[in-house]
Amino acid sequence: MNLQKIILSLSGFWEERGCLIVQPYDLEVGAGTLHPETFFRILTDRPYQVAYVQPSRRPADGRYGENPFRLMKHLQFQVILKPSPLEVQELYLQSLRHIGIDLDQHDLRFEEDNWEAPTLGAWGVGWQVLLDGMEITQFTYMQQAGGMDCRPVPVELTYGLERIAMFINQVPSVYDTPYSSTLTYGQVRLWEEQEISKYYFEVADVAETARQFDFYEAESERCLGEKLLLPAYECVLKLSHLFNILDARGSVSTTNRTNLIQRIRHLAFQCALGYAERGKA
Amino acid sequence: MRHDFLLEVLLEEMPAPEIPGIMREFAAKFEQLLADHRLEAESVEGFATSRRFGLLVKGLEAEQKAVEAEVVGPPWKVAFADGAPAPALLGFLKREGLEGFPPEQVYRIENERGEYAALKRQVPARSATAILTEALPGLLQAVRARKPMAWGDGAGPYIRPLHGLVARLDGADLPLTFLGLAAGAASRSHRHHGNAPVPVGAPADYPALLQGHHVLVLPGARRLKILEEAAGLAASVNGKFDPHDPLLDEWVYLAEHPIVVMGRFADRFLQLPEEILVSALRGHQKAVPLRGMDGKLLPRFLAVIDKPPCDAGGIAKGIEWVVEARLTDASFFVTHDRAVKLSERVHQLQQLSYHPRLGNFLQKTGRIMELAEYLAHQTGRKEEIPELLRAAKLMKADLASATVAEFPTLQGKIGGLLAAGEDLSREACEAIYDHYLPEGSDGPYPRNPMGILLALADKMEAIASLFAIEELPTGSSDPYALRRQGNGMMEILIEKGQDLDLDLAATKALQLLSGILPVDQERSLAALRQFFRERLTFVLQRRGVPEDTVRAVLEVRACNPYDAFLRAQAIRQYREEGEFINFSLAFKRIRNMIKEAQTHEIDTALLSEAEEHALYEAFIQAKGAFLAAFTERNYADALKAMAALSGPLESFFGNVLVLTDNARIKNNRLALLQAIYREFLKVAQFSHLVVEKAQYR
Repeated sequence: MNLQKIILSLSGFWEERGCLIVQPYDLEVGAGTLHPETFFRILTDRPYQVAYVQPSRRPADGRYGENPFRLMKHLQFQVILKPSPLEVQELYLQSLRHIGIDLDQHDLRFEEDNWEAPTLGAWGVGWQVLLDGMEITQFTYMQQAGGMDCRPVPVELTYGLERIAMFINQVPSVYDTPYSSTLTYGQVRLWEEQEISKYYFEVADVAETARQFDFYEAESERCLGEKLLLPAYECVLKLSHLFNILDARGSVSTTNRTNLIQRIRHLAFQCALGYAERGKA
Repeated sequence: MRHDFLLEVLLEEMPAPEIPGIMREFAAKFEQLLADHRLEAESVEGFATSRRFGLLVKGLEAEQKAVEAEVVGPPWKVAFADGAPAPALLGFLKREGLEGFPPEQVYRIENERGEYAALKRQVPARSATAILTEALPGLLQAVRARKPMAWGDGAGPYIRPLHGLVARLDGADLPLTFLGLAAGAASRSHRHHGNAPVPVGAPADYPALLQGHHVLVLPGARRLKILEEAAGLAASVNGKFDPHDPLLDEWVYLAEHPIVVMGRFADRFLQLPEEILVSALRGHQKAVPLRGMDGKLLPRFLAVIDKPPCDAGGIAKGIEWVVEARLTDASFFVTHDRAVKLSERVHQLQQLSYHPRLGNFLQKTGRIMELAEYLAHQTGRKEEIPELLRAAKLMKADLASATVAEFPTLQGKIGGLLAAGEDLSREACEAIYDHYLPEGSDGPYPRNPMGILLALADKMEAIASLFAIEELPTGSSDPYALRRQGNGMMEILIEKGQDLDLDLAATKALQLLSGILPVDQERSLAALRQFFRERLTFVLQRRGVPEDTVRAVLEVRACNPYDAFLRAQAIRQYREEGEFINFSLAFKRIRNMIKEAQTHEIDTALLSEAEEHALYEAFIQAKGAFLAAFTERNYADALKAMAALSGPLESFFGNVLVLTDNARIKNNRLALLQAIYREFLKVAQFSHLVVEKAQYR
């Protein structure tokens, strides 16, 4: 099964089980969790089911398109089920069978791997799902977000789409993975990995990026002052990404690292708190 | 009558490293419960897999043992009036449900509050069913994971989401409820064998029943299966599997029905540094690389899967594919890192924070270099300094490499390997490679003297700098692993027979920080002294030196660990000898006697009694032999010379009155004792030794 079929098939599977299917967020994010459909929705006590693909941009993971497994940008298929159904593990296994993985022929295990995003005051307990020893999914029961207990408890399934597609097609390099019936992943994306890796590692203007960091911080504060939570949060996403660029450029000055993370965290907290309070009203 | 009892808790996958602890803790709590409730069982066996834990109890008594208990009533003086029960006593009997209790069986006791009326009553024996039903929910709740979790609408918190509970007392279900779930008779088969309900009959049949559904509930059975299969597979390729492999414990708890599979990887990966190959297999894949009979790595590995019996060949192929991907990835890092000389990475350390208040790794490297040079001077290795400094300058550079970013546990080793690309002696490369050693309590240690200096300098720098900013280990928290590093310093110094004055080295390390932050030298040094003494105490005791001996040697001098170790060894060797024991007792007596006395000088003209003369002569003789051995640090002979004084001391104390009325004579005798005390105190404070007077043979 090629990559786009896997995406369509997973979307269909979760759509049939009551999920809202939304589109990727149109800003750079490091993980599907940062999409407002996860970040904000898990904060309220209302049941919610949603699924979407989210391209996840991690500048420091870029490898100029030369490493067969590492990508500056990879695709996550994200599912949020709130409250977590008791049979969620079985549902998940069904979804794998649905995309053509014959679990009788493979070894599938749930190994402890907890998740934590200190910048967002969020953490969860869960597993990495290993298929014949390869991590294909991060499976997390979210316990806290924005520093608050999650009730009901959402479960987050994050499928690593490239990994799964590589596994199903048994190809040695991500770039050889069939994207569609006629094009490979490399034909579609290699160019992007090459140029954008180079940009993040060598070209990005450090001084200007740092200035933008200050700007979006002030902008986020200003939006919070206007009680505009989503714009304030979009600034937080910008801040996270700018931080990642500075990090990839090797210029997050040592002592500054904790400091920058704390500044982002502080704003993310404000957004989360504001949303949770609004939910109660 | 006796019962068999089974309790099984079904959950989602638990963290493998925590499972044995959860299993043992629950069994221990259960045994305590039985003891608290006076119930006996023939055996209690805990079991656990990745997604269940519980107990199998055989021969559990159906009822508690009946006992009598004393109940204390009203004060004795108001219990009876004219020999008949008074209202106070009658009211008490009524409250206790003992109306009509024969008054003649009420007796008088005395407790701390005075005299009271008391009686003996039978405590009704409760059934095991009642006790377990009541107590087990609390017991189950008390078993905790490091990170308990909530799920669903807010169920929990518990180890992992709860899916079922089996509680069987012989053929019947125990009416137990936990976290809203009622216990039933249905266990579950293997996840990949239907994950279906399995009705449990008699508790004793449970392990065999589950085995029939491809779940080996007893960890011992899984371990055995793994060991047999691993040995067989290894033998089939003329390789060997170490039955003490550290991954084995994890394998046992990662699966309900483990199957060992063997995979192979391309021969070309054998050209990767062995450290990286092994680390990629073990760390990421939990796979064990196989070695041939000659100890060399084979292009083979073992891994454990969790499946019902199956043709594992296809799965092994799948794992091989993943391993191949991992190793290709690792090769990528190695090629990437080899493209840049290690020396060219040094400046990148500027980007790497050591600690916000202690600067970056380049600055830290500078401090380590100065400290290494200082240590070379102190340990008589001056001629090696130029090469030592070149090694020290490069020793942290691998932290800027891609390989260490990917395999953090290979720090140092990667540096040592990459250093081969520099114009550096083999000894210097090995020194870089080894500088994080030792990692555990029994080595390995740095291979050569340069490695020892780098290892010591690195650890001393880390400890002193973090102490200077008061990042001290407290209680169970030691985020910078300073205790382990401190222990490592002690182990190196002792194992390698290296003299070093830690006070001076620590002072030097603190001075090096003065450029970047204000340091309260005196305060930090005092804290460091205390810390090193604790580490030395710990290490000496771990090496089998008794606590009293450690105290005795460290009290007189703690700054040179190797010297302290030698003195402790000598005492260990001699402490059972009669002469030595008697000397120690005499030493203690001397100490008490001179404690408050002023210091005096011996005047031989004032020696009067024969035993006094004899002691003096013996002392002068012993002192000569003692000092000769002491300067050579032949502490065994020094102690022997010293112990020879035990006879003369005994006669002296038996026949000579020290605290005589004649002040000059008294002071002279005290002076003699002071001289003896001062001399031998150079080895240890012998009065700390816990000894009992020996019989002369």
